[in-house]
Amino acid sequence: MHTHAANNHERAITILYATETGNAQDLAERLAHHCRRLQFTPTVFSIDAYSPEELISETLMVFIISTAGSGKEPRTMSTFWNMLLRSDLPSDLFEDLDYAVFGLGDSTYEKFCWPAKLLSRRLASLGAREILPRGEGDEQHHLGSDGAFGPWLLKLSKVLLHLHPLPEGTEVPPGDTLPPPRVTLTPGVPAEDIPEPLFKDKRYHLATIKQNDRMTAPDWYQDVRHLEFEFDEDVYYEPGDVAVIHPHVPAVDVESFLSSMGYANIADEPFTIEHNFPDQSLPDHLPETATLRQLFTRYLDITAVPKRSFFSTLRHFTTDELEREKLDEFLSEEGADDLYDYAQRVRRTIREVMEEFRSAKVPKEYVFDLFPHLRPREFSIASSVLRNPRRAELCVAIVQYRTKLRIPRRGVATTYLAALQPGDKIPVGIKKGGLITLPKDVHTPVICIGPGTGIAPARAIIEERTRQGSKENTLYQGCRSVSKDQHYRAEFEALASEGKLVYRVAPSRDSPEGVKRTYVQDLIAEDAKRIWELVGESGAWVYISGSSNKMPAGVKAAIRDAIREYGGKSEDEAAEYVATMEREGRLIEDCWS
Amino acid sequence: MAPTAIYISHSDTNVIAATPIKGPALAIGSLSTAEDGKYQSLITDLEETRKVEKQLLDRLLDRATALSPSSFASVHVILSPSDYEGLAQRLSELLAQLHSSLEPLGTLHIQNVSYSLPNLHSELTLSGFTVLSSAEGTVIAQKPAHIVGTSSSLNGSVTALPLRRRIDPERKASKKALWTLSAPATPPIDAESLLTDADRQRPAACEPISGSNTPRRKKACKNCTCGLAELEAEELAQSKVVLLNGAESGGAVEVLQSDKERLIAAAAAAPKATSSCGNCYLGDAFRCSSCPYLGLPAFKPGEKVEIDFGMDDI
Repeated sequence: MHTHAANNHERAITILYATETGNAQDLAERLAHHCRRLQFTPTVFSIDAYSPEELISETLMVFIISTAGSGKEPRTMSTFWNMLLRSDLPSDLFEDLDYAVFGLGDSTYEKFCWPAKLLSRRLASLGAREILPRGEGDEQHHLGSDGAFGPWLLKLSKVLLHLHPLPEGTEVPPGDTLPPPRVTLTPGVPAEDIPEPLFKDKRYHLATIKQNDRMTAPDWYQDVRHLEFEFDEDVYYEPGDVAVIHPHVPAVDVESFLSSMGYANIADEPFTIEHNFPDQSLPDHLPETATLRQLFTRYLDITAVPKRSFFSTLRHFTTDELEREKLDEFLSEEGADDLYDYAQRVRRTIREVMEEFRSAKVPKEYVFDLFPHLRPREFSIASSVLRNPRRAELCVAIVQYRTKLRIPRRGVATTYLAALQPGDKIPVGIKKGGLITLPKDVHTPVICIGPGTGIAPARAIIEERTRQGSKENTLYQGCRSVSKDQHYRAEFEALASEGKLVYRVAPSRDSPEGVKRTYVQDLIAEDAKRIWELVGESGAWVYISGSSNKMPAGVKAAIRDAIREYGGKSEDEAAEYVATMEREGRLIEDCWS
Repeated sequence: MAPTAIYISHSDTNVIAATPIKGPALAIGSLSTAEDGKYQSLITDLEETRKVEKQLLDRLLDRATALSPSSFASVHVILSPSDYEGLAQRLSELLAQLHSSLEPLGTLHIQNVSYSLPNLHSELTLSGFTVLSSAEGTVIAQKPAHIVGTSSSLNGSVTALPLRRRIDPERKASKKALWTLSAPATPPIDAESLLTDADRQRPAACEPISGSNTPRRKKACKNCTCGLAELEAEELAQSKVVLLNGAESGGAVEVLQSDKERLIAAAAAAPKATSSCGNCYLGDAFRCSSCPYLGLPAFKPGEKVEIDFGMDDI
């Protein structure tokens, strides 16, 4: 938790963001730049890194709040939000606070921007003063959230300058000037053995690849790997926890990128990095000294699909007339669809874009302002420490697909993992998943539903439970074909023959032509009587893991039907029963998109 | 036992009073609580740290006495359960009197009340109090600093804003203490009740860009469940694709995606194509929508372009 002295400075402004995929963070940082132009002193925090106690001392704040799932607040915001919901707070608690709120949402959802709306109302009810109507960015707008953010920012600027007028004789610099870079680079001396910055973080351990085997049939379209990491010390994790991987961009791509940027002759010169503006973030675990090659391999993401803000920053650096015109078109309202078709729709990468905008001359000091951070990726751990406290195993589907672009699209983290060989050593982080807890009593039955790579946390749960002596385990595994992608089949069949697992498999594409496909929810429906006995009579816990599309809803519906039919309940009572299970933590979903 | 107050002489600045002197209080009792000693206990406790005015409930309700407005820092009520039950009908009257007699931010303490007054909380709120806590038979409420319900937000144009209240350090300190309580016992409010009807609205589907004739397309969401993603995919499958026929002249043929498979085999045998158009080499950003090189990376002008018609392995 980050604590800071309350801003006593007259023109201080605190910006908090609650982000899901980084959009709210982007807007927060752009807002901070803007505030600096208006001669304010911004500080920016992720809402979960901000000490809520400080709120009582604040006088000027802006909140940039994304919407998660179907209207809930982002997970990083829950602690802060729950503090605000206390019913013993007086209505003048925050009477010294001026604030503004901007929400990011998607109008296809009913609870459009609800976390932002709720925050705005709650702060007002506690005496704070909202200095302008809240802004609501909409993914469905043809400019995305920018459609609402631009105009809202202008209004906010007017109000801020009204409340805190500029000192005599000062002026605001015009809006489209390039802001100063967030770092200063000075030639540095390469340390002989720069320690891996990740190891300063206690969550990271050195792992040796023991195994990296393809589990799917060679003629199957999807490449799914079983990876085994061996650590040089005992580690601790529980089912549901994740391994954190920091990918490297392939060397050949970095090389061609450095050439096209004109950095080839300075690519391996070390620079010391000085952070000028703390409110403009730098990548996590950035070393103090690095070369451009290292930066574009590990810390900046040229494999990312560029957002609008990338193109508007790039505009400052393009020198060719044709390229500038094209960027102006892309950035205009009328050209927004064309920009979407060019970049997002076909998943064109930054590296590919830079090969088409060759006139761009980006001073090296601006690389942290133009290129997004290369984020680490998390993978559910598919094993239990009880089997081996120095091992972690993953089940990873290598991401590869085609769009209209001739060259196939590849996921940067899975491509990195796919290329690792036994004997390679990489830093791997272990992070709490936070969603899955096991019942305290090992004899409480457990039902896991894990189609596709959702089998990873399910395998972890089953491995942990069987090691603890439990036999009351049921697994519903979904796959496409028993001969092609039924992961860990031999293991589960062995456990079943030992009486430690009831193992049910739904291979959706193995049905003959014309016969309806079987999914996990269909098996649950077949087993409805047993499902009721486990859930309703023996208090079983249920874990659903995997793709968050229609599967979880389908599974819950099948469970509800089993409760209705064999538990003797009405439709409403059965639905309430399932809702209660979720509230009590007996039905847990660990799903990803 | 509450400590007794220590009187500080001005020369003795090292001695600190055990309890600070507080603002004047009003203690309200009844014949019952006078008889059983509860009223006297309350008065004795309060008098250790402040001046206490004493009133009996009946005299207040009969308007035999009037209370001057904004004259008490706190009001303490201690009655018997049957007193409270009997008070139910006239509760709003009493609360109105107490409200006006309290200073802003003054507190009202209703002791020994338990379940005898089920409408207490709502009456308190209606009378303009904020309920602070309700535990062990005592309800504590507060008169707000300003009138609840108004907000001064700037809608549309920027107007003059009201002056800020002068910051009261003691009030500030008590608010800070309350806010930083680490394990508050109170249940959360129902957040969704804060939203107005207008809040619950969401924007309609986006309007087409004015002046443009091209139909605006709604993008399919990542986890599309309405079928738009399928439609987009189908559109793509049905769309025409341009295949180079591999001749030296660099000509192109427009075919359906579905015919593509058939032509791939034919094209695989053809010689390599060369660039024929002036701008094609620049990259997709600069190519026209019928360019045969769409989907291919930028290349150098005059360079021989190898088009690999290898089978899609995805």
